[in-house]
Amino acid sequence: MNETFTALSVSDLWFVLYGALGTIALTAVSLAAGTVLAIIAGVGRASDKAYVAVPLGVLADVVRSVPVIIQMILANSVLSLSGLKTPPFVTGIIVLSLYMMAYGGELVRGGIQSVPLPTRKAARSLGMSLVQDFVYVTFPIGFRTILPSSVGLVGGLIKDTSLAAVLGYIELLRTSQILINRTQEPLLILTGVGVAYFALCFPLTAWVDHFEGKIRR
Amino acid sequence: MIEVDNLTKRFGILEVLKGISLAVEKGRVVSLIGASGSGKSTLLQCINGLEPVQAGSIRVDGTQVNDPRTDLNKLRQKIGIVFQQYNAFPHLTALENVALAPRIVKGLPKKEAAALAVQELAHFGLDSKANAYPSQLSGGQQQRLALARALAMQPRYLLLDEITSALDPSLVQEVLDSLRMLRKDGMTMLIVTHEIRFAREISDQVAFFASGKICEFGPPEQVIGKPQNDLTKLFLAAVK
Ligand SMILES: Nc1ncnc2c1ncn2[C@@H]1O[C@H](COP(=O)(O)OP(=O)(O)OP(=O)(O)O)[C@@H](O)[C@H]1O
Ligand SMILES: [Mg+2]
Repeated sequence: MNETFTALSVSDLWFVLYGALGTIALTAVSLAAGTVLAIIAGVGRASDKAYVAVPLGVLADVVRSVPVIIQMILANSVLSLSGLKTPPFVTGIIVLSLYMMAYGGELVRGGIQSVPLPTRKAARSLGMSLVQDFVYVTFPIGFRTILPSSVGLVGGLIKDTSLAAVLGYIELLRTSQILINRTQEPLLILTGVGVAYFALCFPLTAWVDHFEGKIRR
Repeated sequence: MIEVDNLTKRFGILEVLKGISLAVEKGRVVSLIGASGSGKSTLLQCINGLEPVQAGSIRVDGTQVNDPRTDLNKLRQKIGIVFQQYNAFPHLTALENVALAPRIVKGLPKKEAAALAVQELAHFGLDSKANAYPSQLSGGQQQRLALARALAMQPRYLLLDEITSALDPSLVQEVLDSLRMLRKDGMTMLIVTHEIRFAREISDQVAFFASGKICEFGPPEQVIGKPQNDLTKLFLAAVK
């Protein structure tokens, strides 16, 4: 047995947990910021004002056609060239929030446009403002339509947080690489990390199944 | 009173309303009849400001609808409208459909809004459907729900756009009965309908619409009974 390798120990479990927390933190903040941005972008994209809809569409197209890992590296270079010492966590949030904004914005736009015009007119005819129409009628109806695809998007986000490893951010995948290098136990560790990703995504899909069951009465 | 004066409405270059003048007095029932595409629905949507207009004026109780300074959200509370297509809010129960606007627009407490909704639903024979979702209702029930939802805002005017035309013939009467009841209650209504016999029975006045103009206007005995205009005669002969 090679002396430089050491076996897995209990403290490694804490290290993995630390990595999982990194994944959770990056997901949670990007998800929150990205959702707000996605709603704004989606409302803008659904707008009939071309000077709002078109630039947002171009941004969405660009973000969606460049691989996230390249965006991470580019964002990192641009930020450090401009003299900003953003920690990897922040760079990761910026890239992933934009990613959410681009994909989520298109989803939100689709959701808004899936609500029949007469339904929206009915809301307005009752005296609801544009905002009330959105909050109480258009959004809840559109949300149900885009729910399944949103789950896919959030699942993708959780997995794409692993790309922040290239920034030196310590998250689940990065901790596993470090442990694999030290212990040379790739099979065991990657299985464990796979289970951890599953455990992160599972509550989401379970909640959605529950919610969908509730609304498909 | 609803006063429409020399109203012009265009969609792009298509002129849909070409100088419409029409008055609906408080407590009266006026029906609009006329061929498909003649602009009847468009007129109703202009009256509560859902569609912008290009010329002329619309006044409701003296407030000009097509004035940018008018608070349309406030004005619309006075004018209920029910459309041809079913448009109950699909994510809400019948009760929530009716209670929503009184609660968020008028600011009624949740309990009061719910009580009001129960009352309106009962008025339209939907008491047993309070907790049903729109998808669980028949077409006739959905249109009565739309009436209950509009009435819960206690509007002074009701605009009805062919609310029976998407219905199975067997369900038409229950909705027309609701309108007869509203008439008895003294509701002012502007009704677009293809049910000529019903228009004759319920209306104080009938307007015959053809390609964006009112060709004939008067009591039903005249416009439907003894039409003077050739277009009215042709239309009535065709729908009989
Ligand atoms: N949003 C719109 N954009 C462009 N054109 C429209 C729009 N809405 C209606 N039109 C046109 O305006 C004309 C009048 O339409 P409207 O729906 O008012 O007719 P209608 O009398 O209600 O007919 P129907 O009996 O079929 O309901 C039609 O030629 C229609 O194609
Ligand atoms: Mg119509």
